[in-house]
Amino acid sequence: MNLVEIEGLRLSFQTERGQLDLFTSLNLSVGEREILAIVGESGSGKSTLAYAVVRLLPGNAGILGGDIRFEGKSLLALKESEMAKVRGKRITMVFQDPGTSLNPVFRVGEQMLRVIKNNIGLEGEPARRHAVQLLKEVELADTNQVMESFPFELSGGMQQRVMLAIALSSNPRLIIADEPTSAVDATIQMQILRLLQKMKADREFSMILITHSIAVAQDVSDRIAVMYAGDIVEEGEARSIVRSPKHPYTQALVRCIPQPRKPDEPKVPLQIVGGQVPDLTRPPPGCRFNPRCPYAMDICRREKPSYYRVGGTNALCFLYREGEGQR
Amino acid sequence: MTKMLEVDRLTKHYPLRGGLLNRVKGRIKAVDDVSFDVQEGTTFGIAGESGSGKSTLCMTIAKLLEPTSGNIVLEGKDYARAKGQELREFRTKLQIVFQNPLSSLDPHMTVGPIVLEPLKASGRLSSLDKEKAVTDLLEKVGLAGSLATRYPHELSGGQAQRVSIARALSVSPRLLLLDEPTSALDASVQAQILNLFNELQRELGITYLLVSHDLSVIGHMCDQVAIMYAGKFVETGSYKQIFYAANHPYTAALLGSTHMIGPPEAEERFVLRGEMPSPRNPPSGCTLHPRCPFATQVCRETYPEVADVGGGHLAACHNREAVVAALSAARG
Repeated sequence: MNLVEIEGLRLSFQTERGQLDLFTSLNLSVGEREILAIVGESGSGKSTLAYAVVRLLPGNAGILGGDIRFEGKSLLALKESEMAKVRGKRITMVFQDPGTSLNPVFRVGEQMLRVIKNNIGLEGEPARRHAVQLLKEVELADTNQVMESFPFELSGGMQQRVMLAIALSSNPRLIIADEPTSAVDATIQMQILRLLQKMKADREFSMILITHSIAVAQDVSDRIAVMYAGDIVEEGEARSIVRSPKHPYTQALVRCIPQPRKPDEPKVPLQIVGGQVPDLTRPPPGCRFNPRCPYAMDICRREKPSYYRVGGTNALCFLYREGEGQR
Repeated sequence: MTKMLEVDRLTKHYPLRGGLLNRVKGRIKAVDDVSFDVQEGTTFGIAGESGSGKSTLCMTIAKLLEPTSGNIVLEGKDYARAKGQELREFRTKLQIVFQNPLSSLDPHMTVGPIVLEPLKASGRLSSLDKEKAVTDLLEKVGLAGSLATRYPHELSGGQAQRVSIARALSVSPRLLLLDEPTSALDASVQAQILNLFNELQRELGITYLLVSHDLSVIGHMCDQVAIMYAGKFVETGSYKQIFYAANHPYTAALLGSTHMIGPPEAEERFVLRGEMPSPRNPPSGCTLHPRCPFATQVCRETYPEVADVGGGHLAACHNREAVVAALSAARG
């Protein structure tokens, strides 16, 4: 059984310009001990999907249908008081900017002990030992000094390690990491991503990694789901998606990333997609990518495609329907 | 080829004050003894992480910060201490495009006046047909002339960055400083802007100094590359020398930390321990030594001399031979 099952999820926002139907019928699962990366550009809905799982949506968002199951039980059917027992305990979160997630006026140790008391009921010396153990697990050297520090006294990389330690404190089954390394430098990013992989190997949790970088996703995750305008347009094993993308949007996303030139290679232009992300209060009929798609056919402008299985991934695209020429 | 920019022993130090009388207790060496040349019509890239001093270097070259010492020679003339009329002349030859387009455009102004601002400052505006000048500039960067009446908040990130580029181009500069020009943009928009830079270079023969933390952008765009760490250039060379024959352990680590699309590299990724040292209290000797797996006693004692390893490829490392051997062994 999968740890998380999202089935037929319908989610809309009420906006000044009318109702915005972000997800019309979204399906996605996260396996046991799996790292699933959700990749997309700004506004694609990747963060909304993750926050829907923990039911932390803004007031103008509503779930109109479908279900989100965690450990076999529907999260949408839970009362808020029951959800509070899942959120922060069985499912924990790591956000992009650790500097704003940590409270600036409390020492790191105090903040950790409070979370530990709240979530697993541990107090006093055992709680302190637990905190120190967690800080060691995230490879912070001087644990006592870190416990005594205020967040601003730590570097961005160290703050993010503290956030990871807090996220691990309740021994969660699922960690949702929202752009966890976008605010830190390249060498530190690599350290933290390696740490995430090591922790996943040591402990039994799954992770939803939200990132705008398909290159980061390829490096860290087992599986990638690519989002465009609220649709998962392609989903499959991480390396196959990046090496041989099938959906025209995934192809564009992979090919527009600059790479160092080969020795003596001239500068060639990057491939770009024309047009812009659609206004979802007035979505285009048919496939949401059709106005920008170089391969769009008549049917793409009329009907919504289904998923077609092709070369290790599932692509939401009519090109892979039986009998169509493959790109 | 002719030299567009020659930066010679450029240094920017900040006084470090403290104590009861707020006396100067030391200096932060944000940019320390940096020298390089940029050839006309080429792109010179500076790569480094936060705190490496790359943005301070950029601001100092642009004379937005006063250099502590050193020379900034643009088209044969030293502007390091330029003031008044000379500085205005310098600003028509050199313009900057900043990282965040929305915070670098005045929210009270519409696009038209924004792109003409440098012309106004240089006193060349009165003789021009303003409307035509705006339309020409916007079209040059791939925007419709009708955008001239919009305010910055009405633009997308990509459009706003194009407006910043149009503004920089208004005085027909010889050199553009690009300080992380695509870091705030989505991947597909970044690709459009990078293509635009290369098109403009082909059409106008403009020279770029591109500062970025992202080595994939640097490797895609640049002819010459410098790698900066703790205020100094640790390695400088052609993109080929830096990307395919690195001599410095920091360059190797930075390359290993860059997420590349495509076939997995055979080489073992090379991860540095720890973080960038505080500039208030830098390590002795080579500033990289506390993080470097190749560090030996000499690295803790003296900063390495810059050595020319052939063909203008410069590297500052005591244990260069060991680094090169380890890298080629890792490549298999």
